[in-house]
Amino acid sequence: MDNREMRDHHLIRQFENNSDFKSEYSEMCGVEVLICYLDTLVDTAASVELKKLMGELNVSPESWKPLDAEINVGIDQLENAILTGRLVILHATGSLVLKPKMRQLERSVTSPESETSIQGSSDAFTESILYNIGILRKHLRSSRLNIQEMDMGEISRRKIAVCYLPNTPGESIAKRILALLQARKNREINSVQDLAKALGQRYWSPVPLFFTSELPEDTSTLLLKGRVVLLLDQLPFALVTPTIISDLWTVDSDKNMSQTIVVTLCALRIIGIIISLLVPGLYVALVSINPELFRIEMALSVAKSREGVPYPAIIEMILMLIVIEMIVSASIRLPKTVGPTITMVGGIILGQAAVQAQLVSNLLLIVLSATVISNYTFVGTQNALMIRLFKYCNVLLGSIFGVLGILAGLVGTLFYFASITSFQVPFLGLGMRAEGTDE
Amino acid sequence: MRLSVVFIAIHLSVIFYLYPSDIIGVSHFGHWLYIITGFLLEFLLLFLYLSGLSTFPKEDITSIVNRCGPWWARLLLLPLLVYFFMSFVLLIRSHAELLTIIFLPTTPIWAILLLLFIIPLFVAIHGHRTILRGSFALMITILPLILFSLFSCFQNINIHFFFPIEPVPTFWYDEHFLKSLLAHSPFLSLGIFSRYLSFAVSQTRKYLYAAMLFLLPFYLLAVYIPILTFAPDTAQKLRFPIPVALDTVNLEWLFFDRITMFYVVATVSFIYVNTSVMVWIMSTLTVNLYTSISRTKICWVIIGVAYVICILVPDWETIDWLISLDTPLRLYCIIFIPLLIYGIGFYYRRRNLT
Repeated sequence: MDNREMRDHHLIRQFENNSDFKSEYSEMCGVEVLICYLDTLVDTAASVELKKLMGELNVSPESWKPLDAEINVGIDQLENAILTGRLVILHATGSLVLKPKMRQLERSVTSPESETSIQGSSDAFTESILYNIGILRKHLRSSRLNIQEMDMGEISRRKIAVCYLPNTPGESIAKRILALLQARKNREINSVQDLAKALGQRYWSPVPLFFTSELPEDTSTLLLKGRVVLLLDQLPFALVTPTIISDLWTVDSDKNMSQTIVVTLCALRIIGIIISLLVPGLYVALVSINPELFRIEMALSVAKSREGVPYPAIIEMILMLIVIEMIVSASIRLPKTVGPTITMVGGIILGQAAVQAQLVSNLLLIVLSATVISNYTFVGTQNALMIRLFKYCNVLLGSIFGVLGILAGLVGTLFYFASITSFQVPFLGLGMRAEGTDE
Repeated sequence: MRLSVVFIAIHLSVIFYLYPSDIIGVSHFGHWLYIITGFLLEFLLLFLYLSGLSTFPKEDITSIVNRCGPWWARLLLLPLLVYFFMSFVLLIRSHAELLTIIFLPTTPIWAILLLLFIIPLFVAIHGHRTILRGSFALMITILPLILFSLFSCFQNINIHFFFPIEPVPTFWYDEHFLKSLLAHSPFLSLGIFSRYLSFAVSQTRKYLYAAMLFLLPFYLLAVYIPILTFAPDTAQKLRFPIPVALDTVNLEWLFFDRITMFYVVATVSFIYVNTSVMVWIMSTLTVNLYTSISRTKICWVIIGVAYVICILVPDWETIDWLISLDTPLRLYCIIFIPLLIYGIGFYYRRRNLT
């Protein structure tokens, strides 16, 4: 390759429209070489040092074999190397890929953002998959921990790591996942939903396919229990699969406390699930369809609190539920400085003013706040969203069929859960056994 | 183990259905003997049935009876299919009636029926695994409720109504007694589950016998709660003795006025389990014996036909008439089919030995 040929190299043409792509000529032992890299990923000082080093070295580029370098790799891999922040040296007979010092573009390990553990280690996963695997390795120091990485996608390459322990139920699932990913290597994985589609699993159902966790401590315990952990590059969560119903109330870092406390906490969370699932519906059912089920004193006080409310209980409930859902959604997106405003507006306007204006009843607000609070007692963001959604079915059924509707909602939810499986492991299963083995 | 939980649930659904009024209707005294007789009869039939089924691991009754020839199988099992369909329709229709009386006096019956039909349809389409898992979870949630409401009834009982204890010796051909055998028929559904769960494993059978024993107190409670609350004479006049007995309970600390709510909630969930199992069984029987249409479509057809029939049934008298019509069919199913399965099993075991 002479100078002109090097300039025409496939790699140069591929990146010619990128202003951060640098290709610099240099000389090494009298042979012309071309150093290529992405300015935004590689620390600029590295290329300067490299050029200096090349000037001093008395060896031709063909025979130069520095430590930690790949030699004469294919064009595809060259492209990938540039994109992952490597330095590529093109010379007359081939290429050389070096691993330079990179710019610090990643958040360092910090405490978790969306979940906290009170009595457990408080490091959290971050965006970089390398960091995440490292953290996981620290928490689970075992040579038996298998971690297999894979690059997915054609347009954008995304790294996925599948972690599992052999001789656990997770092993066969992990092997299946790996085979599926290998077969669909060219699929773009832009989101967890894409991943679910690539794995041929449900992506439509509100029951999550992956239990997401930010806490490496919990993740490593789940690995030990035989789950499979998927780490996606640039996703600061571990995706744990298969999901089972006990994920709703089990937190592994609870085990740092005494067993009595653990059991009590689990019971509390289960009560939280029941309240947030049933109570809004029960309110509507008991107030509008079956008031005769209340004791007379209770019925009177309910009636009194609803005095002057101009619309039926279902409208009252749906209206307030939607407003509250909006507050919850809004407070996620609000800048931290504006957050307190919403709290105040929500608290004062919704609570006090709506009741005084007799738009909603006092009792409804109590029911609603109990529901919202209980919605955050149990584990997992996606699980909370799922229960939040199912609650509406119960409200609707309750407003049509009363207590019977609530029952139908509960039975329907349970049977729906019963019909869900992820990688053949039933959601309502007793542990990690695959379908058909535990009947 | 899950199967035995389903077994309990489907029994409970029929125990609290017409069983109390039937047994109370047999005579004024000595109900314990009628209950125990029915119970022992079922235990015996269950034993025969299971030993027949355990001869053929991973086979259900259709493939077992198929050994006599496909047309014999179709003929012999047709009454079973009809019986399941009849009891499915009756169970749903009479509970819709009960729900109208207790909970929803103004809701039209078609809407209640719709609610009662949708879940069995969904569950039956998803198959036996969903039934087993879902019923297990449901029972954990619901069983405390029914226990609570039954035990709270002890508030109002008068133990003297237990006496005299001498039974009427001619009870066994009394029409009421024969009708009460409805509560002893659910064990037939095990014949379909046997394709998926091997009864050759003695563990499975042990769990089922244990479940059967677990049910004995419920049979007794279902009959004796109304009797001890109202005395046999009054109880005999009631159509739904247990809900009425529950209505008499008054718990100060509970913020619900009527305990009946818990009871109805519990029974309706048992009904959901039972009807799901029935639809699943009917669809499986039809697919195995008669057609090759997909099971999902058959579930839809069964539900559709049953829904229309339920709407056409005008009142409680018609339901009563249909139940009495059902009696010979029921006797055939609960006595002949276990004996048949046992006979085939016995024959094949003998043949294999020699």
